[in-house]
Amino acid sequence: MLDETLTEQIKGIREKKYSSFELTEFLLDRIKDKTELNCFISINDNILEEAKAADKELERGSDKPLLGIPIAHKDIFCERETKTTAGSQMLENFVAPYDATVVSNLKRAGAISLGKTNMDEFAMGSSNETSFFGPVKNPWDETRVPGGSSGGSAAAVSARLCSAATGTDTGGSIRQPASFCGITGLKPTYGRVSRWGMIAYASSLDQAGPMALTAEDCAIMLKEMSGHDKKDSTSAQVEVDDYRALLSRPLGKLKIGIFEPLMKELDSATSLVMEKTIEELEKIGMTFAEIDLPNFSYAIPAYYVIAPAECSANLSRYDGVRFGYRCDGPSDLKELYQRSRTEGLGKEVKNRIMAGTFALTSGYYDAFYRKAQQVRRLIKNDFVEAFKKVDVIIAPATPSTAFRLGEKAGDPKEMYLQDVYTTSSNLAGLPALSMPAGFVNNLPVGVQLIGDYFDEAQILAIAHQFQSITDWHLTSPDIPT
Amino acid sequence: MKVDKETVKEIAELANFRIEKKDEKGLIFGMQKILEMASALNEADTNGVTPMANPHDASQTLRDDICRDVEQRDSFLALAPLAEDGFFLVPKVVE
Repeated sequence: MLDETLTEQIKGIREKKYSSFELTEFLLDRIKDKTELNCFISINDNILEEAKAADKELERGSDKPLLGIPIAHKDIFCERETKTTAGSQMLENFVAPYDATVVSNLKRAGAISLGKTNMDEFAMGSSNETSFFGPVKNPWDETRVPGGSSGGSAAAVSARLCSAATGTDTGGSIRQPASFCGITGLKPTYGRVSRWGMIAYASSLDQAGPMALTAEDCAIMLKEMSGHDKKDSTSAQVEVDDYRALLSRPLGKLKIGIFEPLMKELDSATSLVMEKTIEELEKIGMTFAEIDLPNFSYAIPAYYVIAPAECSANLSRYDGVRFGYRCDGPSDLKELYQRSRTEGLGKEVKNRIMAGTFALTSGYYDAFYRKAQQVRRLIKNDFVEAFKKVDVIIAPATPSTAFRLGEKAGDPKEMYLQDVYTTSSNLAGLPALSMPAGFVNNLPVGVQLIGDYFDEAQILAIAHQFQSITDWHLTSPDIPT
Repeated sequence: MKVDKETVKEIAELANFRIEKKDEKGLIFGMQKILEMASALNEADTNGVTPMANPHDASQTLRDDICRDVEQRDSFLALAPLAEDGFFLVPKVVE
């Protein structure tokens, strides 16, 4: 049971190799054995009952695709009668009265919710160290970070505490931890998955996606998570593909774009991983061509204006009045607002709200926010041009392997540069995934595939076919290379 | 772009934060780092470029004005730190 993928677990339950109850018990025991990783903020107390109910449903002949499969949710998705904290003291005791669409979609597909995973506070961070509930540890090396902000989900899948989890990605928060933890993670096209009930960080960039061991597992998850949602006006009215059915289709001679300057920045060991990945992809028929992304270097500066600006607006709702943390004994309304926010929000969140508020003030709006939005269009246009020449783009996922806990805590700029290869896809709204592609000093390295709009099927198929001739994605931290 | 104590004070007021003296330095440092990175945008030639707020340049979708949701006042009020008789409670505003 331990190293089974989501695909294998679905088969295991359906073919009665084990019941959902047995699988869930096994995973709960494993979670208890791995509490030091700090992957979960809360565990669903009713899950064994839900597993029993799923087993009965299977007896009655239900064919729900994820029936009885325990899935972990990043603690940013609201779930009825369950604490949803967003990794913040502000929401330490917040119990949502409704399910996020992602949660209800997965429940409708038969999945049961294992628990809520740890994350950087309000998804602001690249190491999970900004969580009010303490940092998550990387299962490959517990002195290192799992990445962030979906670090709890990535570490939980990597440590085999669940076969699949949900994550969110605003600037790289699915792909960077997926890379650090040696799993597969996909950020879909903006609008592919509903954001309803997903606690907002930067609304024009946030997107939910699957995190699992394999591209096939991500394909199964994505199909169930996706689709137009009337409750989210930014969710796209574009048909959802049967991603799993499209995984093994002949891809022909697809052309993959390489932006050379990105490759030149890598250290020699990571560079070797990229070269080997390209060789493997050639074996499955891919061809390669150079592309130009002239505004790529502006992605980080544009992101760190737009995301803080949007977060300063989104997080203004935490005022100590309607829900969330409230300070003790405020003497007047202003003090209630100010102290509740100051005491209830962490340092990094406050930094970003302050920078975002600054960028939106009338004196600096044009120089920062408007300028960043203009640059955002240039970045998108570069990708649109590139996709006229190539089908997919390959890029590193992260500038390094997992770094040590505390290593980058002193300089926020170094932390922000973690997103150097990932933010551009969020700004452009493109789908991108990170897949395990090798190891450097016994730590996993991910490689990123960026697809054209709503063509998740293409990058998933390439990743799946890559994974059919490699086994990096099946290497477990319990059996290091 | 230099962030100083005055900037932090002014922005904290807008963002509804009460900044203690001991936290001032950290916030100046944090804001400064973000704005330093952002200043690289000045080098980009954006003459005549329309700002982009949504990756698909989508406009606001509209729906028929029909009530869909059931009344949930009580469940939302139950989330409030302090509520009474169907109202949120805050310190007295009008003497």
